[in-house]
Amino acid sequence: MRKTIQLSKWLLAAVLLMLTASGCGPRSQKMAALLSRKEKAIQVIDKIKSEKQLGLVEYEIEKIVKAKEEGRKVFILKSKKEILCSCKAYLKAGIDLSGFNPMTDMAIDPDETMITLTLPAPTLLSLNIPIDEVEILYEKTKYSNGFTLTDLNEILRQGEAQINASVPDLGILEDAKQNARLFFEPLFKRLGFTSVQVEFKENQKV
Amino acid sequence: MAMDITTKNMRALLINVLLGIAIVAAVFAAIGGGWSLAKYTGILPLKKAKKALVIDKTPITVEHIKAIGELVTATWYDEQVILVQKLRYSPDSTFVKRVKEGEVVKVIKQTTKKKNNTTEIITYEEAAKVLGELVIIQDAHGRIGINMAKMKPENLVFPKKDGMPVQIKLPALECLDFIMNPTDTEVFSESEGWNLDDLKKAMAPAELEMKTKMKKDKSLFDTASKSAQEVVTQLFRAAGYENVQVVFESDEIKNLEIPSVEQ
Repeated sequence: MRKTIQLSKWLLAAVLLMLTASGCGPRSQKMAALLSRKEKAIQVIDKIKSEKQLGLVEYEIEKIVKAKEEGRKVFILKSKKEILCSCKAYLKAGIDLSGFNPMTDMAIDPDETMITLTLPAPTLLSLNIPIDEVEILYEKTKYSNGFTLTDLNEILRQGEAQINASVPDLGILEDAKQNARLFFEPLFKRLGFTSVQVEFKENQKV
Repeated sequence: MAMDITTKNMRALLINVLLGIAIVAAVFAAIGGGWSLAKYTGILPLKKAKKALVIDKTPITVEHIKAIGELVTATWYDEQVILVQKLRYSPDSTFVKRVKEGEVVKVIKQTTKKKNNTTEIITYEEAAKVLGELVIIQDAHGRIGINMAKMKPENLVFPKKDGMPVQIKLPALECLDFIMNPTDTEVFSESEGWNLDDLKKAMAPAELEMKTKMKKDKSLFDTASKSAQEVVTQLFRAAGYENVQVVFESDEIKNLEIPSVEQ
């Protein structure tokens, strides 16, 4: 009898300890996250910013974005969801003229018939992915609630990142260089120059 | 003596029953507590971490290439919170009473009524139940500038005499791009049942509202026009023209549609 009572007391104590420990789990994790989390720097963005960019070429591209997610197996059931989206993007490349100083980057020969422009290297100036041109081509869910708008936005964000990463391979920057020559030559020939040379500075790595 | 033994037996039986119940409860609590501990602390691999949704790498198709000559001279940034609710209306006032507090919204509605050849606008309140909510934090930026392809030969007037300025009439400033990309969109909160069409419908009025703000912001036109004048003046001065006069075809920014107010 005494042994039974003592055993049950130990059991009760063990149960209380387990419950306390399990209750501490998520709370202690949150505290650790709070203590170790570095404060993000506050980003300041000007509402209106002066720019000096010359857009020279626009690419209209289409990308198919596909994603699959498989959940945990519960007994014999395994949740699965798949989605295929198409999105259109408009990329504009050109020259950032804030890095162009006409006094030093424009050279006119003594006869004033030839002008040489040394322009900054072309860069991607804008990427526009209108939401109206995003379409879901295929969506399938099995034992699952389907894709939420949060999931959809994350998928599209990754698609945008892939488009950004592919810019050097698209050829848009080379086309911008060609168009820069086509843009400035007629302009300066109209101003009286017989020969217009357009050169580019090397890309500066950030 | 016999009574004492019976009382003692009853007491022992009662204690044993209570102990038995306590032991069973303790076992269940231990299993539950152990499961929670393993799940949240990850001591035992019982909970698989949810894999982040990752898309496959797919190719890009270039559909169209266009040469442009756009001088962008200002960028405008804005951020807006979009709140969309799915509402169910009921004219029945008893329905309103049955619904829990906090789930009912008052909606101001207008309707028109014709009486004696005159149109009267009637305003009334209607109660609606909130079935679902979607909250989005939307960033946007507009790129303002000049489409140089719209320059005509007559826009450039060279001086006929020395000392006279070269006159350049630039096309009107316009909103060349209005960008709201997926990285500018944050779905802050959503209840169940929202789809892509709902997202598109939610973002459309926000886009129009931000474009309206852009159109009314006079400092945007001032910044964009000043920057355009600087670029063009510097180019012509470097080409040898000391006296440069730059004007615009219009004193407002084009391509910023403002929706008409529906009566």
